[in-house]
Amino acid sequence: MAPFHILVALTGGEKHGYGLMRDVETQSDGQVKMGPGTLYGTLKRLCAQGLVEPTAVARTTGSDDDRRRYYRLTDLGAAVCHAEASRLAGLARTVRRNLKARVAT
Amino acid sequence: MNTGRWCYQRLLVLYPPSFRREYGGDLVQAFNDLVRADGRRRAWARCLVDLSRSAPRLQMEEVMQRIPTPVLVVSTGALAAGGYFAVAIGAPAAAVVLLVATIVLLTTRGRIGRGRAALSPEHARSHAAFAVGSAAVFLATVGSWLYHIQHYDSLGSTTVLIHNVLGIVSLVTMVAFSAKALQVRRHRTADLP
Repeated sequence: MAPFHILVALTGGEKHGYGLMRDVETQSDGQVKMGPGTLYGTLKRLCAQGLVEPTAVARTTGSDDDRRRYYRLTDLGAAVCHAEASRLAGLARTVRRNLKARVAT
Repeated sequence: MNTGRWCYQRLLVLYPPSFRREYGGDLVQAFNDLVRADGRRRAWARCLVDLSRSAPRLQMEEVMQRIPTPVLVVSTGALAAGGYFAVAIGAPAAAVVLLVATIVLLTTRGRIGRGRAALSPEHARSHAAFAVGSAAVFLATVGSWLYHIQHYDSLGSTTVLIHNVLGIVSLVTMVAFSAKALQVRRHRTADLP
């Protein structure tokens, strides 16, 4: 699930590594806590697959002077993220429909 | 330099060199951010658990990526064939070693591929190749099993165990890799925006 969580976090715009870690934690209600190795290992794969790309220039944040590399979704990444979200939404609809029918019987 | 940061930097040696070169600075920066936000103890706990999980995976991935898929498929087939030959000439120890190596190769490749199938159209060919490789191992297992039934009055427990284990593993990996290849094809033809 780590790749999909990262793609979802990047739908909100460009982010640096630590920002992604925090966003993934927040959007999963604390269920997914990625460490640096898992995060950058997944980012490396996503970049190789053309779903994510680093922005051209590393930049500093307001809080410190370290230059950070930012990442953003590619068009293919956005399309894949949309397809996966549609698949999950369809699955959720099926669960709701089946459980409703179960309660009715 | 901060001692914690220095220690974490030393531990990065567990990652493959190419990964360290590309992401070493980012990893240390993320570690610093975690220490700042969560405190030293919680940051270390999180990073050590992460290191123990991600480093072996990335190392294995590096090795697997260096070996072309056709070579891996042929190696798997050769190991399996060697294993059956060892069973046929009555060398159970060699058979066990060769067949265990086959199983490790099949299952390791599966573990590394897991979780990225849905997001990696370029891996479709690799999945299909491994599905074919697994199918070949499965057919060889069935063939070897039929050969043994026809030519021997009774089968040893090692022979039965090896055929059963390899038959099940190759069947599972064949189904898994076929499913991954089909999943990728579905994503390619999915109704994308």
